[in-house]
Amino acid sequence: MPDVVIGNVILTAALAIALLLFVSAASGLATLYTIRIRNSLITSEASNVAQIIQQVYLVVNSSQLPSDTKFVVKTLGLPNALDGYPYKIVLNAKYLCSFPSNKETRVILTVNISLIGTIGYASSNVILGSNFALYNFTGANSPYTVKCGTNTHTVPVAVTSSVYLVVYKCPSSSSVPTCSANPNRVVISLAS
Amino acid sequence: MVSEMIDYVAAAVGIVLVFVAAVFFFNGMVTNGVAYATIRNQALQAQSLFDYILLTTGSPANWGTSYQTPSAFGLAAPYSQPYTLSAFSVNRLIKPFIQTIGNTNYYVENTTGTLVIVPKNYYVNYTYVKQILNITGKFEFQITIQPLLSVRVIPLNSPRSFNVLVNSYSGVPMEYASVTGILIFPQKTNPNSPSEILTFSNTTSANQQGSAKLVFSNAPTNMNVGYYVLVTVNAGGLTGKGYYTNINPSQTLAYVALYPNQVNITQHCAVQNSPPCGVDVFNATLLIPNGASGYSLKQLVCSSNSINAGQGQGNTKKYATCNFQLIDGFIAIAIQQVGNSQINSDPQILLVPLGLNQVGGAVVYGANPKGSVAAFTLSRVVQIGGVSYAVNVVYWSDYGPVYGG
Repeated sequence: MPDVVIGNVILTAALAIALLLFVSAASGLATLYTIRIRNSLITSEASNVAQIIQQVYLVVNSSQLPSDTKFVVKTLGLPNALDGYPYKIVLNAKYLCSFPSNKETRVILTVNISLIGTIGYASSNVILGSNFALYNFTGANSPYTVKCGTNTHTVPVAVTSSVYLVVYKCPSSSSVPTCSANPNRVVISLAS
Repeated sequence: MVSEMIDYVAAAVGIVLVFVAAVFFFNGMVTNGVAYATIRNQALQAQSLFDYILLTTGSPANWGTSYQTPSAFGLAAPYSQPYTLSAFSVNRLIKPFIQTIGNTNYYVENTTGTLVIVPKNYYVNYTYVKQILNITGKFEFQITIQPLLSVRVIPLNSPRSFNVLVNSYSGVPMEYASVTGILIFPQKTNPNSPSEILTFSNTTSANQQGSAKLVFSNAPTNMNVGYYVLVTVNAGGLTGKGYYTNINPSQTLAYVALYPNQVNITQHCAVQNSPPCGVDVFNATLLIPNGASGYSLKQLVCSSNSINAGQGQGNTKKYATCNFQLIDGFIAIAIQQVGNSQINSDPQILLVPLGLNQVGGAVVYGANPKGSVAAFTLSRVVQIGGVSYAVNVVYWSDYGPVYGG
């Protein structure tokens, strides 16, 4: 009789430990899964934004765009939140230059997305032509200075569903503030 | 007592097994879901790369014609419709082979049976292109540029007659294709003067099997010269090119070396080990496409119209230099041996296409995807100098399997 009791006690303890182990392992895996899915979701969103910017740049930069087009607006269709968290987008343009003439030849545009209030960050790169420029509506209307190498131009935007791209194809001279600082460039800005 | 203990042990083992299985399957589900998202992002990267290559000119925009090393890589023709590629930029993706001529190694291309020497930096190195495209890590790509119409020109037994076979990209005969042929022919006028370059054209239609017979009835009946037949076909809104020549590359009289806006014509025996050799006279002409009627001919101004690398006194003209403006056409050189012993020698045409599109050439550029685990393939129809091409890009990573964890 005592053997049965001891056996039941051992089995009950083993079951309880197994249950705890299972629950904690399942919880750990679920957390891991959530983080990975979240990161993959953010990466997808960053890739989408980068793709859209590249596509719009290529369209606006082509000779097909009527010359009297002042600007092109493209909505990004971004969600208000990713996995329930608000987020922000930061665009970085890095100018790569030829050697030894030190003239810009291409731009690596990096789209960074980070969640606000939790861990979650991803970035995506696209390559663009050297006449690409970023513009920050909230910044001072100073001439756009391109510097080769590590210098980057940054445009941070807190995202809402109404964020859109404004793309200017700037002529050599223009009274439009965005273009006056960026002659002969395709200027892209995020706005909301 | 023993049986109860066995039950307990069996129950414990069962619980552990269920637990391990649950963890295993759950982990597998998670890995597959994330791997799918990773693959999707890589596909987007491939798309982005493809668009950039096909829709931008690179830098400088004229890197195809200037022979400069590009500092940004793009194949689009400047100031053109979208998906129109520069024939000259595409030309620079053709890897030349090294040929030892005399004691020197040369970079040589053979697009139409005429050996063309190109500068060492003419070919744009794949590793360098990866670097300027910002392709980091272990990603690789391959670009294949192939004509949408395959055009084969075959001489027939009857003189001045050729059979033209027109097939689609996938090998289907293109019925009722419109076929225009141009015979480029050297005509000897005087034994000691350069031959004239004559052109004869004719247009016909292919039958239901995609086959057409081209006859140049106005051409001389004696075809014992080195000549070319250039064929342009139109079918289903697509344009294709093909050619035929009876010239054996090993029997051409001169090498042609192409530089930006300059062509050098070097006598074969000047660089072989066994001079002396006789005198060759030549006539270099630019063939400029002028639409349906064929080509306009513009004679080039050269430093000399003869080359003579022999050992005799004053025989120092191993090569001649001609200047020209690079256009999407051909340089045709009618060349013949002269002198008393060569009075009956036949002239030949050396035809140098200045863009591979002029002869329906194809390019495969980049790494080989064979053996890669997962690759992304994208295709577009483009125009190169009015000729319809399909461009395929394959993009892949070589870091192992992504699916299945």
